[in-house]
Amino acid sequence: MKLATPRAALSQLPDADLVAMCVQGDADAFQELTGRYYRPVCGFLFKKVQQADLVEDLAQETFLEAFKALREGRPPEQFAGWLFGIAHNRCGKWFRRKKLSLYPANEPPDVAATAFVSAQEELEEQEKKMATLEHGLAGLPAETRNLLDMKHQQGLTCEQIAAALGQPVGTIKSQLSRTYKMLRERLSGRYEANS
Amino acid sequence: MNALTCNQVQDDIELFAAEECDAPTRAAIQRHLAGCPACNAVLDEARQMLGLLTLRLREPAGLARLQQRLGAEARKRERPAIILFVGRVTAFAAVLLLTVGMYFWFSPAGRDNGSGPPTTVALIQRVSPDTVYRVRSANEVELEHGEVYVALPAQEKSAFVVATAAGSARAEATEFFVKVPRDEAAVQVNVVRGKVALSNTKGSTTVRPGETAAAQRDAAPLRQIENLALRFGRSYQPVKVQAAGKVPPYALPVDLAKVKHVKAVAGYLPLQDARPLLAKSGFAVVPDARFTDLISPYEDLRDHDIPVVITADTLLHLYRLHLTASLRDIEEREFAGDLVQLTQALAAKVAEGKDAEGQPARQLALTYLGVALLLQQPKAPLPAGTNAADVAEVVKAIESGATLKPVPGLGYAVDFADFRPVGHYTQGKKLPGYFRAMMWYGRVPLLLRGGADRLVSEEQARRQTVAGGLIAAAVEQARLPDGRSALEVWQRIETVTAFYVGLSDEPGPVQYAAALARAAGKSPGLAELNRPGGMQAFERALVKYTPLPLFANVAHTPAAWRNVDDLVAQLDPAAGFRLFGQRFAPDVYALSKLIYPNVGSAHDGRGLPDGLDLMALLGSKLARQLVKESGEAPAAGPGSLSYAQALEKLQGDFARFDDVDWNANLYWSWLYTLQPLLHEHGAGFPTYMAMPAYNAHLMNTALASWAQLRRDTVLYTKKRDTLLEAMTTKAVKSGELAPGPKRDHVPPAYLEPLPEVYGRLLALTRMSRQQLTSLKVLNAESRQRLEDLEKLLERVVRLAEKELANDVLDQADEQFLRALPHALRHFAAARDVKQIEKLQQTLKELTEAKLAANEARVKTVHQQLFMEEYGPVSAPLVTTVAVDTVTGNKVLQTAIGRVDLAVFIVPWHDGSLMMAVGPVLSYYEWQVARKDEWTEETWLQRLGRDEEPLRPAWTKMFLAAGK
Repeated sequence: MKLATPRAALSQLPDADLVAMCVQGDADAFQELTGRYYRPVCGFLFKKVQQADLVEDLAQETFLEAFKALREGRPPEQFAGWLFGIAHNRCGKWFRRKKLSLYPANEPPDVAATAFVSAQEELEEQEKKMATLEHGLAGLPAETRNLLDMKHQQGLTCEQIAAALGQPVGTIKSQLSRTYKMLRERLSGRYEANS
Repeated sequence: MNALTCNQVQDDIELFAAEECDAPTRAAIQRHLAGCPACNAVLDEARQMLGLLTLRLREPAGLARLQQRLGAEARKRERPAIILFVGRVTAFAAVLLLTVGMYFWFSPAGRDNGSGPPTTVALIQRVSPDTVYRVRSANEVELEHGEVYVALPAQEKSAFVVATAAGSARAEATEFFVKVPRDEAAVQVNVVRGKVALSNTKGSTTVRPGETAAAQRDAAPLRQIENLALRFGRSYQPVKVQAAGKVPPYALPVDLAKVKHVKAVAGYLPLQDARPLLAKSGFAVVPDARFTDLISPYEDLRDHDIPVVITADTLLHLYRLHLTASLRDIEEREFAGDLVQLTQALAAKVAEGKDAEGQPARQLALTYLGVALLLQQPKAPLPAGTNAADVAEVVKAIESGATLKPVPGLGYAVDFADFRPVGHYTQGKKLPGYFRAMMWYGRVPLLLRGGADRLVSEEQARRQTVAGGLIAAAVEQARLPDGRSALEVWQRIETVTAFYVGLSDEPGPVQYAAALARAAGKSPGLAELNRPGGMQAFERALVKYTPLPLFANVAHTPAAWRNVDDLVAQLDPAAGFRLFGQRFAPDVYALSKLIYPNVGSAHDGRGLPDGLDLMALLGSKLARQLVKESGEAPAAGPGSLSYAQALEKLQGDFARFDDVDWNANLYWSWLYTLQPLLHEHGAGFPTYMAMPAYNAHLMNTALASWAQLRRDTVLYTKKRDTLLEAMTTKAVKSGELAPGPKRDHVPPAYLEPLPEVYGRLLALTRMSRQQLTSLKVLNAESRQRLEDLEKLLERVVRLAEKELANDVLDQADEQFLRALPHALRHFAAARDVKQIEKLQQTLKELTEAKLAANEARVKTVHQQLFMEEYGPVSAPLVTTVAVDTVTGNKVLQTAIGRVDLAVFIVPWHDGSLMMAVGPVLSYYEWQVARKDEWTEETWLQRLGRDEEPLRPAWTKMFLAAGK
């Protein structure tokens, strides 16, 4: 009889083992892979399409497609590269659809031709970027963090936030502006702690 | 709000990116951004940051949603897959059949699909959200309205059916789109991969990738021309470059006594006038009388042991030589002959018509085609029914460059002055006739609109439109004697020239055929035009198929620009049928929008633009400032815009274009390549690059390059040979081209570090090679040369990056740079290497004989050799770019004269400063009465006599002693 692997133990396994488990129908194994790659895949997609709203949809489609393929018994040799490949093709399809809906009587452009170079490089690039951002967020006071959540998670405007918190809109804006500047400088590698 | 500084803009840039600025600040920032690459770069950073931040903060919610969907998917997979037969059984006339494999895919649920996921063998995706389709079986889909994307694995083979309510269709394809407009009995199929035959009870048509097939319930399906802009644009692959600089600055003013090689340079060039500018900016350009091409200065500098700079001007020029050589080759080898045969086949097909009612229009169509035929083959027989006297009169007027008032048969006046062949079209047996015939087909329309305020009467316009329809039908039906279809030959010429210069914004045979079918319901439906309202219905149909000026070459047209009433209202009075319409050029369009009547009033008198306008539009801050300071920016007039408003509007229009749009043909891509020349260079770039003098010089380079582009594609000028002869004689007489002393030592070389420009140039060269190869335009030798140029540019991009990063160049890099000046001639694609070798041998024999009697012969051979070697790479040219819209009798001409020498103070790898020299293009522009327009001949003669006009005032910023 095959014993289920405990959730905690999954995080210790290499991708290849998790993939093999997914093929055998282990949904938790795929969940572990999702946790590992959701963030870098989002970063990769954002680099391509430059629209945060769209990235979430494309990421969902990417993971669903990967999941289906694994369940159909088509495991890849190298999971990360394969997953980025799916994400890349999703972008291509989206670009095609976008072009087409703008001007229907045309052949869609094939953006899928520009493939990424290496999954490892891509992974490193995205992880580095996200870690920098994480670092910046970690140092924020709770009050500022709350502002960011209201703005970016809940999608409120500065005016709505000001009304909700009973503060002048100028205060909200200048607080956000300062935080944004700090994060931007961190991400572009120019940030100095005392600046 | 006043203009903002960079600091002010960057203070608010994140809030701007987050759309949290108030309206006035937002507008002020937008104005600033329009001309500031530095702030645009910061804006990009801010957008990146905001995007990543949003993703990060929404991550928990996104992950939760994903887990839910994965759970649902896992449960779904556990149910057995069943094929559902869904939907009404309707008497659908349209059936789309395609060969597919048994690839099972779960389609997204249709709006009223029932509860379970139906299965088809094809992957089907909704393109528009309101799409409604039903799965009839694994092999059949019924599309009610909306649009779907259908894909099947290429290797699989099995039948698949798509049904729609309009017409009937048969297809063989593996990837395509099907669209059914809401409330319209029509269907449109777009093929991405494979082949589709769309058919209904009225007929059928087959389309291939990139083409569109359209059918209506009661009309035969039509094949529409593929969107060439998309086909070409998507082959463009941007080259990523590292353009950030890390070069340590040097102090200004430069102490020239401490700069290496100053003595050698001063011995070669008159440096005294340039010294103040060099000390102040580290850069100056010195006018020089020695060279008329960009290649020989390198050889000469090397012979004089002067360190050289490989300039951007040179690399851009190398590419341009390939472009013009390949265009001429295909025209001479293929198009000139094909155009004669095409014209004959079309005339024969039109002449087959017998009905009495259509006789006047038929005669007009035959006259139209007859003129083009006799322009190419003066003795060719004309088909019966042609008005030979009319044809002869028009041909005579064209050949003499006269004006005909009116043109017989057409009823309106045409000035044929521009129909004189120019540039390479003057040479050979076939090209002059080809040039004139293409001008006729491109410039002279069969008019669409007539009436009291128009060029012709309503009756004349109707007849001309019917004639256009007859020719359009002939294009679809005629065959050439060698069996090729007329459509195939027409498309081939149209496609290849579209890749060079772009697409037309005028309707042609494809649009006329499509609009006639749409307006009349049957092909060619010409009788419909004679019924009340027939012309109006045709007009409304035609505008739908005709590209809009601004969007003729781009992949998409915004829906807001496609309102039929607006389009009809905006129709040009000269709109009509052209067999090969003139191509839309963005610079011509933009310049026309920055003068009267669009800008200012007739009173302001700005009827002519200048080159700075284009530079301002393409992003040069300097150009904007110069236009502002010149006081030539008119205020708004009655019903017109101010200069600033018009510029802003154009910038908005141009901002719609993405990489694909900018790179859909070589003309546009060239303008795209020039744009980084107008960026400003800040910290980290060599000190001279951040100075206004260098900035102005790069703008000069962009303008000169633009003049080349206009000259190569529009060809207003003539007889370069005569001009060159005058210059050659002078140069040879004074011994200025005699080689300097040969040395074993090779001086150091430096590359002008502009990686962004070189990256775009490399991408353009790659696209040219790929597309021109796939279009079968290049012969093996030209392809090899383009490949060589590509390899050269790959290396150049990396070297420019290294120089900017202040990396030490390794030995191989140094050797490459030192060898490059000597190798440039190889890349210049001289026209006939064998002929050059033969002439060199003759010259050698003649000189060795040392006979006084040979002197005249030596001179002639020397000149021939010069023409063969230097003719194609010669820089001087002149071209007319605009006609005064206020008075109508002045023109703006731009020109390139002798090659200037740019002197750079280069920070060398060892920390020292070095003086180095490189050739750059000179740029002139002037306004002149239309009747006194300078030809290339007069321009070269004037250059030979040192009678150049003044250069633009702003060139003083970098010219040491401008005339």
